[in-house]
Amino acid sequence: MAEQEVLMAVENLNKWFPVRKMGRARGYVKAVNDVSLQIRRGETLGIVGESGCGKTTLGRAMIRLTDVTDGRVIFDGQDISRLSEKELRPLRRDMQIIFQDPYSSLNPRMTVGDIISEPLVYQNMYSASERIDRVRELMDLCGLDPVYIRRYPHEFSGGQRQRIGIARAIAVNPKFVLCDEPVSALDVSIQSQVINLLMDLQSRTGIAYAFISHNLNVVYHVSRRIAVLYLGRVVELAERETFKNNRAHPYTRALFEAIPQVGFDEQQKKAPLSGDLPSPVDLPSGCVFHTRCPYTQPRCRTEVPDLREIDPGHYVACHLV
Amino acid sequence: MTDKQPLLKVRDLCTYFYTEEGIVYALDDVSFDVARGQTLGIVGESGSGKSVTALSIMRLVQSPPGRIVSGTVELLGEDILKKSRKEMKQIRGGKIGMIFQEPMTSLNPVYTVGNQIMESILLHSDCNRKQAKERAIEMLRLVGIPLPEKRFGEYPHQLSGGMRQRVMIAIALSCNPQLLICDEPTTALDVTIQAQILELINDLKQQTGASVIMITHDLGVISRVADEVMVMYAGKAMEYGAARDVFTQPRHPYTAALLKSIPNLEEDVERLHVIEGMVPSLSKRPQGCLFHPRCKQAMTVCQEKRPALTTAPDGRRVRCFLHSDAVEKEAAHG
Repeated sequence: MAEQEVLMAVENLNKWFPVRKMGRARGYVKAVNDVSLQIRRGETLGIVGESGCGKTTLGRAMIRLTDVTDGRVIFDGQDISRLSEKELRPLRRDMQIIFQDPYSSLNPRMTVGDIISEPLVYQNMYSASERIDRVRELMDLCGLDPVYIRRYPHEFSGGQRQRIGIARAIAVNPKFVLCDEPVSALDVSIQSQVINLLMDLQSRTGIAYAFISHNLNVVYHVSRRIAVLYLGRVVELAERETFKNNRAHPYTRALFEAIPQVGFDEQQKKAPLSGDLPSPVDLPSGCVFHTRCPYTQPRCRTEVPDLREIDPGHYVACHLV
Repeated sequence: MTDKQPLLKVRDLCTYFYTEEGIVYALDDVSFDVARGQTLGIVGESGSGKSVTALSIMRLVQSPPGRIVSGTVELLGEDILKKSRKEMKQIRGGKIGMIFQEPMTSLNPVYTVGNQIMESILLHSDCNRKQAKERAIEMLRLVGIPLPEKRFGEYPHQLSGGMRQRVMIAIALSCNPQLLICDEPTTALDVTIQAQILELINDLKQQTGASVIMITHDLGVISRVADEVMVMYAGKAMEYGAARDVFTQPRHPYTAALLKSIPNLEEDVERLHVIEGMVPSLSKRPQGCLFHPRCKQAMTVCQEKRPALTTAPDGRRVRCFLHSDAVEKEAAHG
């Protein structure tokens, strides 16, 4: 991959949260473990996994909304993993976030105009009068009628609120937007509106997205490449098409088989995985998936599988592949 | 549907909420049957009235502001809307079991799970405490919880989401209900756990012969478990028929649009199909067909008159002027 194509590179990233008892760290929730991946300019990288697999923590570490325990995050050629809040501030213009819950992520006491212009004020962009024009333009771009600029969030529906959140995120013309479950709280008929909006904005402005979701159908639809996370590790990473016919990791296969599809395949009736996710405090030895894997070998219990490239652009962490 | 008397027969059920902003027509003139051993899927977006349907059958609609205005809900030929409070208490958890969406908030955090299963058994049967405990442990084993004797004494917070939902199912099934109502039972769960729970519900249905009403917004879940499906929109049934037929050959424009709007692994599309606009407010409903403002095939008549739910020769019921000219009769109330 050409160096200038890569917008964000995550290298051997670890994020551990201490579990404190009596004030002392007695262990760590190992939310993200040795994750390396890259996001190219203008592409969408989908990040999928079940709850507790570390996808949100990984996303937040990427844009430094949380500190990094170990490893590096290189954004646009600059290592941002150790920067202070102050040093990060100018960089925030290039990286933004869209949150899951369109109800709690908008300040109920601010008008839509104030919400969307806040990042512009914070980044000192445009004069006050230009800002209003910019906000109107953004509202229009995101499918909101600019006459509602003085309204408050509670006057909007869930889908419209998510449009406000999107307008706020793209206000500063970022190069990268982290979409953390952006459509999970929306109704089915509204989801497709918001997904289309996000994809239109990308083709128009060339924003790169990291699209985090537990909904594989949605991630598959929006992404160019997809990373599958399990217990804080990337178990498979490949172009989206690979996930259609060529899923290699047993966990990926189980995950995709578990999605109920509209249709009447008799073969999809059986639950592919038994058991629950192990605790991220005491990670299983060896391959993190061996406790639920139907093909576990003795080697899987002791040796951690590396993420290997089995085909060009197709990475899998499994001893058996 | 068989000729036999259905287990549950709901006719012309209307549940309205009388609020300061006006009357909210949450459930308007809904009729359906649940045959023995069958699963009826009720699918719809938020505000379509699917949960109110469940609450109305259980008579758990909060009143005021809610009120079941008219209709009948016959369980084995008896109208349960006419039952007294005391009789209802026996029916809930006895003949009808219910599983809710959020397994954390529907379990009591200060009682052990064993205690909560026993509570239901003691209320609905003549068991003594020892027998009830045995039965509770047996139920935990039945729903696939490992080490049931140990789990019996644990509190809800010690269990994972999937395990909690299994406990909820154990409670709901502990008194051998004839009807199990599941309101979004897997929405809060991960897909691999969801698949386990759906399989469990299906297996238990086979074993006990109970009927199931599965309420969800997820069309995939419905197609995995349901024999029949009712598609609801703005408090009304829009389409109703055998699940396989409805999903493979939808007739109502809303069903068709909904099916097209979900991304699907099998079919790659550049852009998702969109249903423009949003679900109408249930207190200020549009004139004519409730879906016409968002319908791509809307005609003049759709703006003026409300279509009735009509039955086609093959048994499919659709509420749309594209399929029948029948107009809904004026509601006598509200």
